[in-house]
Amino acid sequence: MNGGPDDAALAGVRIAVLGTGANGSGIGADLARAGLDVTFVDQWPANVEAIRARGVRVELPTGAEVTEVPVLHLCEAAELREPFDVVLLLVKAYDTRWACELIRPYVADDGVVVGVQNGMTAADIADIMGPHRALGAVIEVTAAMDEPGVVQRHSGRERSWFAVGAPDPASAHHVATAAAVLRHAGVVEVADDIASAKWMKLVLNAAELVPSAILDLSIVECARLDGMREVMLEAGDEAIRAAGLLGLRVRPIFGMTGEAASSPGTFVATVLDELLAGYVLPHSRSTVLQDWAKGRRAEVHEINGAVVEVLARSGEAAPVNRAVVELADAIEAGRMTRGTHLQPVLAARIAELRDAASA
Amino acid sequence: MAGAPRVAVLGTGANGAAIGADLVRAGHAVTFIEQWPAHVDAMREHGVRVEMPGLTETTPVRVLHLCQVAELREPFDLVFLVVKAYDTRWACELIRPVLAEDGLVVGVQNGMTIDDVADVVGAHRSMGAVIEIAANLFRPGVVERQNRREETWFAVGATHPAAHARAEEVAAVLRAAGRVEVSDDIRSSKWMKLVVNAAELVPSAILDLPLDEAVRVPGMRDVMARTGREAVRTSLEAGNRLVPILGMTEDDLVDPERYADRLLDIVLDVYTLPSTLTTVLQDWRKGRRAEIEELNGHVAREAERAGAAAPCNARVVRLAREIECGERAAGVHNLAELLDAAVVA
Repeated sequence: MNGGPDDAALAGVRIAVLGTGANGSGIGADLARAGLDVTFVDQWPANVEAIRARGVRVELPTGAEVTEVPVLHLCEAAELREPFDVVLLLVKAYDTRWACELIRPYVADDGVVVGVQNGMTAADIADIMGPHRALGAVIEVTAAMDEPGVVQRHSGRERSWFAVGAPDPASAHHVATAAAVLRHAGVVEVADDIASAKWMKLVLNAAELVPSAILDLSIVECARLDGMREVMLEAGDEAIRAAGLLGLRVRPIFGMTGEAASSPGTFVATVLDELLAGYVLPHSRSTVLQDWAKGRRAEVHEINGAVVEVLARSGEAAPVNRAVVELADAIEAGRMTRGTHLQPVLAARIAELRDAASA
Repeated sequence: MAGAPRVAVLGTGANGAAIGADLVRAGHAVTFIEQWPAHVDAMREHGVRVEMPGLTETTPVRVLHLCQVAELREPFDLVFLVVKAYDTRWACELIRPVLAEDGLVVGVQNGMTIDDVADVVGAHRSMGAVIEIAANLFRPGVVERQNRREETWFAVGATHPAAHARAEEVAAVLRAAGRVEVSDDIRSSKWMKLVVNAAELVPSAILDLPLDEAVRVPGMRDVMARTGREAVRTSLEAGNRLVPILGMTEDDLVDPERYADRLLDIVLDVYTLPSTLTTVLQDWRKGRRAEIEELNGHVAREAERAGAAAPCNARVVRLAREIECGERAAGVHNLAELLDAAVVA
């Protein structure tokens, strides 16, 4: 239904989506509807059972689509006999290593794992799969899954954006295939600097995800709150500084063009505004808040924690990201309750850390 | 580790569930973490039912699906890893974020998994273990344990000195499930178990027979013995020592090949009931892959590395691979090809 010139090359390509939560299910359903050979593998038993019984239901702004797709529990991987050629990895960043170890015996020798995730997971994937079988990807899809088998996809295919690229030349020959697969789920850019592209997404993630979750607000609500937009921008700016230390390039994401989206001084505000205007709905809750609402840990250390770590390695402070991590840790440990009452707590802690850094 | 240890059993199939139930009954704070959803649901609803010779025990247990590891807030002090050898690395990666800084992962498994565990969680947090128990799990929540606790045998020990210093601490916990010895050369101890595993597990499964029946097929006992002897020679060539396991003593270590034969005798006499299906055959009957590469495959690879031949193990691996990819059926008709390799050897 989505046929294009690349599709002939996808005939006979066995695809797995490992991790079929909100994003994995939404993307995987698009691939199945395009006639690709796709198998879901998921860790949530009730989700697997629901998809088996009723197909995966994706509620898009334009209407609901129900798609039948083969789906496996994790324990059923040991029943697989035919290897996969392409594995789209849509687990949380902190699940990357075990998920790769789990799927490794079932990935073809010349197959590839594509980390369609937030966070800098490429090195972990390459470590386990080998550099010749590892690709990185940036994903911008807004979706939620609160009920097994049912995805609320807030951003339709035209408002879903991916960048895919090879962190190492050894896997460059897989990029076209991975891009052709993902093109059935959204707009795809082939990135020749995937590490920079992924870090630029992390810059945005550092600004939007955990700060809004700490206040228990949607991303839009958080950005509108007096004083919070500044905190979000500052969190992003610290991540921009870290990009420089990592030798990464400030570059546009979401297919944006123009000076503002590629200049260190204007990147965060420009891209945050693009996100708020085009990719999220007013009520869209971040992936972090969704995890917390489910009692699960979130990607705090993989996002804001990564910024703190990179700056610390160069002896630089990251007061905003550090304060965000501290509050998030306290929430996850049950010592604090998320909510707007934490805004002044966050502000005070940032001020304290700034004072300490300048002392 | 202050106070009562927080214990997890990661992998609660036949062995893990039986051991875990014993730990719960001994009063330990135990969490089961399991990959088979129906088994989790059954244990939650009814507890875990362990049917032993002359005794059935049902024990209420706390059980988590794999996906619930991300909900955990308190780290574990002791993780008994009772997954298949080929699941070792991902299971260790999964549990690592909830393993205490001074916690230990104890690999209660067949196969040489010590280095994989150490690679993921650090040698200072890993312990190896030998396990000898016969148990089946075909219905969710119900374990058929064919050995009572007094026959079940474990050895524990670590390659890292700081971890090894805690072997007795682990043994004390595991003693709820059977006899436990501390091994000062756990790598060799695990190899000795691999010797007998190489002889019994895959060869009998290739015939699609319970162990006790397989061994009575004319010629099969000899195939198994030769496969075990190859393994013990390979172990010694790889620099391991002969060490007593399964309750044997230094006096039993007369000669490597006779020792391998003795180990096979013990497993067949003490740990095998007429109905005992090997772990390999259980896996195959469930449509799952088995520990081929980690058992006979490991022996064959190590022999090759040492420039020695292990024709029986190599043949076992080839036939088992053919069975797993559907090119060959398991059954007694495969005997000729096993005998053929044994004669060459």
